[in-house]
Amino acid sequence: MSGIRMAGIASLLMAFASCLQAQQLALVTRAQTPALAGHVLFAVGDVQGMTHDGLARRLSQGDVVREGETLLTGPNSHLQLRMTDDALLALRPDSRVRLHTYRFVERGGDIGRASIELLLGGLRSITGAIGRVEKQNYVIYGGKVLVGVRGTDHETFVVAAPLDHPGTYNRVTIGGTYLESARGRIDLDPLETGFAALTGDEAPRRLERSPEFMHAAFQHAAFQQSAANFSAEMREDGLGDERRLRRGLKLGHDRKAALPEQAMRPALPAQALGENFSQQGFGKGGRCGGPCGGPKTK
Amino acid sequence: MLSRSRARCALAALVFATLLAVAGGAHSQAGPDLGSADALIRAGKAEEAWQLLAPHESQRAGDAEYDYLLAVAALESGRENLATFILERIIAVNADHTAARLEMGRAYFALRDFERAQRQFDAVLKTDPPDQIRSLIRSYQDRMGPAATARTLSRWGGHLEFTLGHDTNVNAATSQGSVFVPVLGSDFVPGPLFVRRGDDFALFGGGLEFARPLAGGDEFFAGVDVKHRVHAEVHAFDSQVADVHLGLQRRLTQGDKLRLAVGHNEFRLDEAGYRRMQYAAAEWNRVYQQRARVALFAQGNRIRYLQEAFAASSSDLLALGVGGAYLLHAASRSIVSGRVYAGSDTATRDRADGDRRLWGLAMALQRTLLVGLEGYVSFGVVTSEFRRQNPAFGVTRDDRQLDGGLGVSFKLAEGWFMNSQVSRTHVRSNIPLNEYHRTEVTLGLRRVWQ
Repeated sequence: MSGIRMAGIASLLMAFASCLQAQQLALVTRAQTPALAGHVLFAVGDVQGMTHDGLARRLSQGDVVREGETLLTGPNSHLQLRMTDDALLALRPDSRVRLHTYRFVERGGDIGRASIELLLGGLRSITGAIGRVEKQNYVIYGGKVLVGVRGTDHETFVVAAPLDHPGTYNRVTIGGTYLESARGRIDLDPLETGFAALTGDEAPRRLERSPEFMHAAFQHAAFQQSAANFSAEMREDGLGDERRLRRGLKLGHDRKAALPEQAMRPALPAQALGENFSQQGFGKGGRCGGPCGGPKTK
Repeated sequence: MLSRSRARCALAALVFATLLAVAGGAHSQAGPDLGSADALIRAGKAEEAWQLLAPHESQRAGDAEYDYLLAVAALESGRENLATFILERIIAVNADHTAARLEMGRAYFALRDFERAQRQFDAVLKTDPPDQIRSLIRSYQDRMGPAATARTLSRWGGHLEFTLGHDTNVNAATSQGSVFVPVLGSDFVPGPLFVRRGDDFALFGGGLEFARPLAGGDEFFAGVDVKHRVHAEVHAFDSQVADVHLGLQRRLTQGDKLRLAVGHNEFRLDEAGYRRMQYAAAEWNRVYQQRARVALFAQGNRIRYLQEAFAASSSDLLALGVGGAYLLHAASRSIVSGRVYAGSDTATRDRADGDRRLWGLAMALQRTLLVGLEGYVSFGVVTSEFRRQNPAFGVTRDDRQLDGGLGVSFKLAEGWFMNSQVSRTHVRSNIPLNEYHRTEVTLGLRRVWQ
């Protein structure tokens, strides 16, 4: 009995597969469907997607988003996406983002590329395979600048009036990014915030601290959903607290790719002091002895 | 015919969709056991909890209970930035979720994003949490407060070293057995201490460095270095050096720094004070995209020889130069660096050769050769043109000193390094008494604390 049922299911699947094949052949003759860019992981509030031909739809968990689509969030609304290369995107409230290109090729020479335009609002991006493997292929445009990645986790805002300084703001959490405009480029390291004015008449620059609006999305009670009644007990034991507190004393971030601070400083080498000097302190007449002027290896 | 085919397709699709739905339902029912995940986290098995929960994120994201456990698993398994990403979902829906805010604070702290961590901890404190939570937050805040920040950013470093080596010319003496002195009309035969001597030596050294950030991006730094060199036979050239320096580094813009330093250097030879030097240096440098550094520098040295026999060598030296370094290849840490400089050395005690003009060039290339093994090669040249005719030799002295070095440093363990170096110095002069060459080979063990 079971065998008959399995055979039935198998024949149905085969029939369905042949149908799919036929449909695929038919589709070739039609306009190509834009490539799949990712899926909605989380949506709350007024969240919409608008196709390149202007058709708008509400987005909810599990929906697909495609190349060419514009994503919009309203006030107090949030959208999270998992892209095809496992990148994560989060749109802040009142934001508008266009996915110009998002193609991930799992196999083959070219990993793919992503070109995202932040038209307004805020976008957090944790890069996936494209940004990890081919950093130059993962770019975000915002205002008059290009935001390129040198790492993994950053947040970009494009803001207009009524701010005193309308423009593109970019803050790095992990890794690094750069802000590039026709006027110049700056590299940003973790916790640094860069700014480029919307007018585009000055080179991007670093800010001493990130502006308040970059922290606002999760600071206050922005959205209260009636169904949100789960509230966990605060963890007192904090399994990792001791480890974190201990590690917190260590300095800085990984800057292995950077020029080390101790790389041969251009101070006057000992030889220059001629017979009056001996760096290592030996040699009658004060002539330099030993490893004068060599770089410190350690 | 076509419509029958379409009908068959539709039927197949319907059945297939039903099967998928059934399978999906079964899958959903077999979703992550949140109780087990919670138990794993409490047992310190955050990685296992993450592996259990993460595959279901596409379906369960937005479920606050699931998200909370996933975020804690992410945080405790070292995925701090993912933890903040997940926690954003909870807070977006329920801004009063204090447990999520506490975890968010912990995650930002782990990311060293103290500014955001502080905001989350403040939000929790406003809810009047239990004493244990208040105490825990205070522990974090202690590390993030202004005093703690300064403490955190203050840096201590130090080193100890022990080196064995051989020097082919410990006294930097001419290799000629005698030197013709025109004013005497005869050869001068140097005394035993001024005849080239090779010898083995041992060197003991140590140093301490301290740096502390000040308001406005400035940084105070200070350091002390001592060295003691003992020869196997020629003890007349045993020496000790002590150097103390301090200074201020000012951050002018993001990439521009100005470094000002003063120092004092004492050199003892053969158990007696030999030379005392004070110096001041200013250096402006700019870093380009973390790959290149250019610098302009100025340095002044007040050099005084303490024994009357050598006091004539005392001078005041002022030099200006430009230097730079470039990271050629990040993966292999290949760095090329160099500097050119020119200076004026004014004799203060009637030196026989008078004042001196000098210019020099130094270059170095260093790179990682193997894991834990760094190597470098260096080269330098200094030309000295004296301004007064030497009365004994009847010529105005011109010297050219060439230096080359080749070295490796092997990391034995964290903070332990084995260094080896070969260096060669060659001095040419139009006064033969000043010509010499020496080769030095060293092997040393260095302990570094950073």
